[in-house]
Amino acid sequence: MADKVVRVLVGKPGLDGHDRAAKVMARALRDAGFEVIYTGIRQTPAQVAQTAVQEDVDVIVLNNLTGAHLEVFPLVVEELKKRGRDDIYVLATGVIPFEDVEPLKEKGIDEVFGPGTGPIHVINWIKEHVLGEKQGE
Amino acid sequence: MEDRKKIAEVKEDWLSTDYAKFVAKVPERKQPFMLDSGIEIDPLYTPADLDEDWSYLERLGFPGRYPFTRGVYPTMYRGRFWTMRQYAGFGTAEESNQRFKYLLEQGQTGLSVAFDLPTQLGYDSDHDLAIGEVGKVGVAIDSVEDMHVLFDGIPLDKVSTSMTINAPAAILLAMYIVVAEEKGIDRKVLRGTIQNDILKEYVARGTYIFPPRPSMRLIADTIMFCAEEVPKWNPISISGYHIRESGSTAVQEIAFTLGDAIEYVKTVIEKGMDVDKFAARLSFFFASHNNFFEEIAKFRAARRVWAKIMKEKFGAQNPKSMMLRFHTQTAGSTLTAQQPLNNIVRVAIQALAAVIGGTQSLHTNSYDEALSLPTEESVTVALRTQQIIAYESGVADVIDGIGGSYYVEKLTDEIEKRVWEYLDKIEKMGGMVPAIEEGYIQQEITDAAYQYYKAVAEGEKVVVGVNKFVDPNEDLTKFHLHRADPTVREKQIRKLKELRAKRDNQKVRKLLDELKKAAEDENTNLMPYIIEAVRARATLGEITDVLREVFGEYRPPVIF
Amino acid sequence: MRNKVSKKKRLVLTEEEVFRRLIQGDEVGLARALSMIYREEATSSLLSRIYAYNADKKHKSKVIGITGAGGVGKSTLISVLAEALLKKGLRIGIIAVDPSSPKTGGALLGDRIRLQHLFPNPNLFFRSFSSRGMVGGINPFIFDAVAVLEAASFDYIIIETLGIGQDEIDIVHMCDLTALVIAPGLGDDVQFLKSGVIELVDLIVMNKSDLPTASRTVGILNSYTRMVENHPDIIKLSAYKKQGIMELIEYIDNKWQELLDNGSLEKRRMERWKFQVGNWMRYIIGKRIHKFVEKGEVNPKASPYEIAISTLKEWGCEV
Repeated sequence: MADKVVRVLVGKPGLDGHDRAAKVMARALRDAGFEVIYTGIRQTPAQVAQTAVQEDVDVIVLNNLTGAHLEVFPLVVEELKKRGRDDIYVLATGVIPFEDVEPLKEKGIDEVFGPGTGPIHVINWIKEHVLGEKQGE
Repeated sequence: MEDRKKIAEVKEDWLSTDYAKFVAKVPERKQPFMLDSGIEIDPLYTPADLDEDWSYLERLGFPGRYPFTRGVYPTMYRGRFWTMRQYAGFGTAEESNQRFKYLLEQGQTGLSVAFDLPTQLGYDSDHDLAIGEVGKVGVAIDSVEDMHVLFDGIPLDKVSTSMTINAPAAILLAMYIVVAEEKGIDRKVLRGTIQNDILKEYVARGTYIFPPRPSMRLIADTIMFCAEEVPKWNPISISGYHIRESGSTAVQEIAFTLGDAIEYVKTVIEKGMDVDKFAARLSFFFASHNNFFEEIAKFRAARRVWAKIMKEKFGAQNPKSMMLRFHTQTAGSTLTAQQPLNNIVRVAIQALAAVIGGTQSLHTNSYDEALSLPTEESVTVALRTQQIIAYESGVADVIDGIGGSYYVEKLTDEIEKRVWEYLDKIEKMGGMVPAIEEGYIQQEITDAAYQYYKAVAEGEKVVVGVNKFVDPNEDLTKFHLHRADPTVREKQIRKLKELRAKRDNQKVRKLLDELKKAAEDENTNLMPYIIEAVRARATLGEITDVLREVFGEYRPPVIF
Repeated sequence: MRNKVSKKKRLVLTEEEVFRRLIQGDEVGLARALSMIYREEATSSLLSRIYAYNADKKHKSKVIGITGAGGVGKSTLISVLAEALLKKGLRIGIIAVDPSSPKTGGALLGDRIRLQHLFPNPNLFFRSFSSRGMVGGINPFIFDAVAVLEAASFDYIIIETLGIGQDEIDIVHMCDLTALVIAPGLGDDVQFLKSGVIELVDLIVMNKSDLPTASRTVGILNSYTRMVENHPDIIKLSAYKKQGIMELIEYIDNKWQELLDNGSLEKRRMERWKFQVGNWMRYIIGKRIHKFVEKGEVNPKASPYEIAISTLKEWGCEV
């Protein structure tokens, strides 16, 4: 049973201090049965990446509400790459306009959950992609 | 007035007959009806629902008189409308300056400055942590030179300026003073507000730098300095807005904000200043949320509780010390990305509640803010919303037009009661600082936020266009978004380089050393030292670094 | 639908690779080794290699347990302790255990937030675990996690647990040295004193000792410790003000050396090994019992004791 545990890192790179969305996300993911690690606010991309490596998570859910996503999120992917773990899924959440979706995906973000989405969409994505994969193993 | 008892009897009869029969046929939509604050709503309110000892003179009184339930001024909006103040600022100081001039031309009566996050956290634009953040949520200010550009051509002796700045508020205030003085304007005539409310940063907004205790000292320093030197300035805007936005209930918003306020007042009094010397310049900032009556009652209750606190707890004599004057912003978290035009209506209702609730100034959100920074068009609609309320709706023509509504009076009392319960609990914990250090406040807010999320996720709470009346064909991609200029950081870095090459670096070093020594002595007011450092062109980051060295940095407790 | 192909090729490491990378101190290998053991993949062979490797190894990590009730400032203490050790150029591995929800199995692991400012750092490793899967007492996995960190040759291994009761007692068996953290004026103090933990730990760390009520708590503490033979020393410090941290490190180093020199360390580690054998046995049988009880038919007329005895006999246990 324990081998089906999905570990998720909720990361808040950038200087954005509004953590309501990240905390609600963390709790919702927990209630969905995942093991959730939260980095806290004001993380550098390197901090998020090293945390993900050490915790050996399956997915990173990034959240930023200040418009720094286009610069900061791809840096997380870069840092993962440097550490040989860019196989970890990276999801982007926050105030992300539609036109930023493709640029983010091109830079290695696996899915973008912009305005109008909520934790439930993230949970479903993880269930489909990560849990599905684990059960398919 | 009719006999209370008689009314109660008839109400009882009505409930058990007409009402009950109707409910049997057509059940009510909810069971029970509840406010997010946990207050149950009866189907109908009458004079008999007010407390037995309810007294008009004690609970309401008259506008401009204790306990100020009906308003802080005798004429309210019959004299002058509230200040229509839209929060703005992004990118470089030049761009923000343009936006300010535009807003002043449109009839806005006060300026409100938003700063980018590096500025709010005391980092210069060339700091590593500033990558991707420079000019993003507001204007980037590294030195007094940027401040000069920001207010170029704006008469600082005539406008009032509100700055949303907290941890480094003392430094930005110093910059404003230096800019004014270098333009030949006396600091004594400057009008405006710095937010300067650090306690809510720890629980809600997240832009803290130093631990609570040295932060409180910095705040006391600014309050005391302003009382002597910048008498028309509001040295603090104690903010419930961010507490509410981080998911609290209306009751928590008021309770925690007033709890913070009590802490600031205590700190300044302990430093030896008489309460009446500074309390009149304390100002507040609240959110106006969706529930129309609850919000109005909230504002009224807040005024009454604060008046009692100042009079009874702190022994204030001057009625001005007891007045809760506040700015309001419509609640950003209620804006939806879906069907964004609906937001115009939400904002209008929230703004109406704020005005009826007696606000002193108001920011109305733009309908596209759930998607990104607002456009000029959406900002204008937001401002027009206020103007329609002011000039067309008629609500501003009478003072506290809703006063005496049985429901609103009952709600005002209920909210007040619950606020006192929280305040008592916080006092037992030793005040807001220990309550925050132990994570109690954060836990209360986080729990409320999660409750709200679940209620929406499960459809128990309807958000039009999101979980009901959804437009399946809606295209969320059609929006024009204002984008901050991606080269702002480079420009700021260039300006910093020039500044450091041009200024007298020896003098800067010397003044920073003096600031450091002053910071080490708790009883020295830091404002004069900061002003001198700013005048010598020390940067925001350099000044903050000195304070970081002495005060240390805050690490939050772990609360979900 | 579940087998929808994902576009990512997930990192898969063989046991051989994991072991090789682990003993080189590589974070990816180390993290994966912990995951594999936690998921009970490769439990036996990977662990066999790790234990054999550790037994032959000269370098010994100092394994320090830190326990105490919520609110005493454990996380802050660990963060300033780690910071001070990093400044000395040492490598530190930390394990923190948080409870998981018995209903959903989900968990919120937030202990590392307090240390995040020390990252990125190649000399600091932190891993959060949930108590998931524990069937009474401590999950044997945590013991083995210590062995994994030892194989990665950290200078210090710090284990943080929360709560009162069995966990505290078990952490003592897991570590070379255990510190109980307390703070002034907390009601839980007395609980701790009564729980007997005080007789097992090596030292008591009085955090927040700058608070005015600290001396009273130390007084109460002294009156208790006097009744205990070989009572633990008390170290007063303030993690928040970073006062007394160097003294704590010095104490730990000296004490550890003393244990090493007089042979107690070796003895403790042997005890630990034996305890872990028992742990695994309890865990494995516990799981089997759990399964049996869950599926078992209810017969209110029979004595539960009889059922237990006859079932265990069926399983081949001597009873």
